[in-house]
Amino acid sequence: MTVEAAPLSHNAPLSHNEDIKSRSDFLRGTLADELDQQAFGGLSDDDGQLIKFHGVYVQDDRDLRPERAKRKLDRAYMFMARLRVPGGVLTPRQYLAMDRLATERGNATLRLTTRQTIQFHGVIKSNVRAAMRAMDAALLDTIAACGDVNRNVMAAANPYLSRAHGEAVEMARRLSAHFLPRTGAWREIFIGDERVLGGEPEAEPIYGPTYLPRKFKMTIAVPPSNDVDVFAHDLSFIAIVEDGKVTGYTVVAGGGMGASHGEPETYPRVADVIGYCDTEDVIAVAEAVVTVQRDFGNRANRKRARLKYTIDDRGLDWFKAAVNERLDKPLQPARAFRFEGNGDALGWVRDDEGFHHLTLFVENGRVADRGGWRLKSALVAIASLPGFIDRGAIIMTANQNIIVARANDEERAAIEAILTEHEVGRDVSALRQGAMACVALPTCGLALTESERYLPDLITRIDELLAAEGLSGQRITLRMTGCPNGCARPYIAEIGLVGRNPGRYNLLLGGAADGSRLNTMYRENADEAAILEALAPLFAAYAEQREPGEGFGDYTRRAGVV
Amino acid sequence: MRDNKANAPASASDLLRTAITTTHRGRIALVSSFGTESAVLLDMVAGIDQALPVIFLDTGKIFPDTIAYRDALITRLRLSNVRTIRPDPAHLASFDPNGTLFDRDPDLCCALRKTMPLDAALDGFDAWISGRKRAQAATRAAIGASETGPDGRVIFNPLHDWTRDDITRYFTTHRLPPHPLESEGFASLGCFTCTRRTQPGDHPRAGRWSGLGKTECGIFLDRAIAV
Repeated sequence: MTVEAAPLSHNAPLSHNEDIKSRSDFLRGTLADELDQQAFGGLSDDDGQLIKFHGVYVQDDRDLRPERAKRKLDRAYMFMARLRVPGGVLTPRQYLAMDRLATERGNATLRLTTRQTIQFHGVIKSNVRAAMRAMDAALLDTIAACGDVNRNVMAAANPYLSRAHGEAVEMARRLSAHFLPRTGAWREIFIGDERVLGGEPEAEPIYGPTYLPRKFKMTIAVPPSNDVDVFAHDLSFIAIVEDGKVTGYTVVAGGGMGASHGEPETYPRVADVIGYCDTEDVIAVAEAVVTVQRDFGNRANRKRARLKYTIDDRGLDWFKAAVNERLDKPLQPARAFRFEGNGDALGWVRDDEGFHHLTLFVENGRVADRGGWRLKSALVAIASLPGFIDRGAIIMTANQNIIVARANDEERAAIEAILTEHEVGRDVSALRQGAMACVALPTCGLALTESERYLPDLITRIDELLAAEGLSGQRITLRMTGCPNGCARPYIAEIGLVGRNPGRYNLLLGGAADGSRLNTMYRENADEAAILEALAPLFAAYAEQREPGEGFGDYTRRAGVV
Repeated sequence: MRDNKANAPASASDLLRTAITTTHRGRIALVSSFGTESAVLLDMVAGIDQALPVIFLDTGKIFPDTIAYRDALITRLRLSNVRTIRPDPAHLASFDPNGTLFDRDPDLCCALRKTMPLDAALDGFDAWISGRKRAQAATRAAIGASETGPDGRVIFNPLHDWTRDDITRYFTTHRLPPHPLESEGFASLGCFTCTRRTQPGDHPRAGRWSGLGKTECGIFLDRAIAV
């Protein structure tokens, strides 16, 4: 079968970002010069777009905006830097270096993201290069952590849990390396390497000079856990395990969360299953999917540029044929998989070799010291434990939690003592365990409402409603974002809250506990009282009418609530 | 060759280039531990062919910092064909189900976790490149630029006559990052179960299987153990 080659809608002029990319000399732009200019704390608009490809956003402290505007001052500019950590695995030494970086160059907190990495907020311009050099010295970087490229590759948390988990994380590392931009721009701009002159002409064999139309996200899951939320990303691989080894992967494509309020042509979408490939063919399949999106994705309208729209605009059959046309071995029929949930199992587990692994709840991924609760200091003490520092790992999960992996018996006892001493690891409700919020105010430039700073209090109120119905132990996924772009993947939660106007959220219900289904709008632009008023009778009905094992999201569907 | 010290990098690189691009083209791999000195050969190979197969043995018990180092070097040197080889899970299930074999029978543990996986990974190659140096240990004092290995394959040792100073100079000149455990006192790295820190004045490999009378994992020895 031959795939029609003509682009669909590209009579429209290219978006401005396409122009920025093509003029950037492989992502250099004028960033090196602009970073030297200390009189202005931000960047020009174009370089502000470009620096995203290097894992950095220009932000400002939005809490200070009104006061600074009154005093006719510039915004309080600062930068956010996001690490590239495929599979979320850091060595204890790397974690310690990142903790120091946050203290010395950032705002003394580490923000674990929903895509298994760390964000450093509050990095002022004169600290950006020093921060990058600290990462480089710890064998880490921020290359392609943002921008129109393949972003951090996620994988089922904890490679030490089983052979299959180890293979999944290794595959994530291979994918990350394979799709890393080839340009030397990152080292030249931030580390100070000389541009190699007279060598091979620089080129991007996969991306080309204008990279992808929009961001691209990959994940790898090991059933029965869907912790990485395979249906919410552009391309995911679901491990098929036989005799303890991964034989291959069922491939899903076309997921994506972002949307814009009031623009129905933008929408969240769950990925479709498109086939199966053997382990040895994963890189080729990923390259086929990425290059189809490179060649056919919408470069005129950035709001419709993700792979999900390419698939919807041209049809899933067209897409599968276009991918297969680029493969020596076409995709095989998909193999069955079964997910049980997308959350983390908190607490200790022991592996076959006798090592202990602790999944530690981190509310909204914020690692900090606040009052008696000193998670940041506790993790430093844990990562520094002799023995553990050489053998262990600190792993970020897709649910913004931390796994302390590979402790022996004595270290486990020491870790428990450290957590107690730092007042970390107290019991939290089932609802809070399964909840996520994006960063939002005051640092995110896109936020319409609070999210991370507000969700903890809202959960306290919702927990009261659940307790009144005897539902305190029930796991329900609750996810909040401060805007419709969906960083906390709210559109596949059983209860989704998407920021609309200050203090007001769209309330969405009916997602599945394993992340496989979109939810549906239930209340628009609701304030806290309206949210609680809407949920209370639903909890009462759910407690009374649920079937054995039925999740809240499934119940709201069956009962016709949404 | 030994007295021609200043030319050591040039001759090593020439040897590599000839083997990779001419005499053993398409049938040769680099076997790298991504240890404290590995970046030299990886850098040289990247200058010749970034797609040369690089075989890395993940025994399941290597230091996580070695994995981090591997990934950083892949990124910096644009190595596009690093193959991480793991032990056969069926062998582990039979002989080392709870991971304590290293304590009872380190030779068998090395056979399961290194020698046998390497032999399988070298299927289809008729030569490989190693980073061994005479100066590393008394048992390595006689190695030459190439030899015929225990399985009949040619083993190239481009760094056979390099001293510690040669290595240090190459790292500096080429701005290569050190292995994160080198500054922690590890001169040579294997598995965390069987590697300890070395003391000043020790042989570089003195921390390997320390106190066991064992100096080599066995990938360079005759295959005596059949599992």
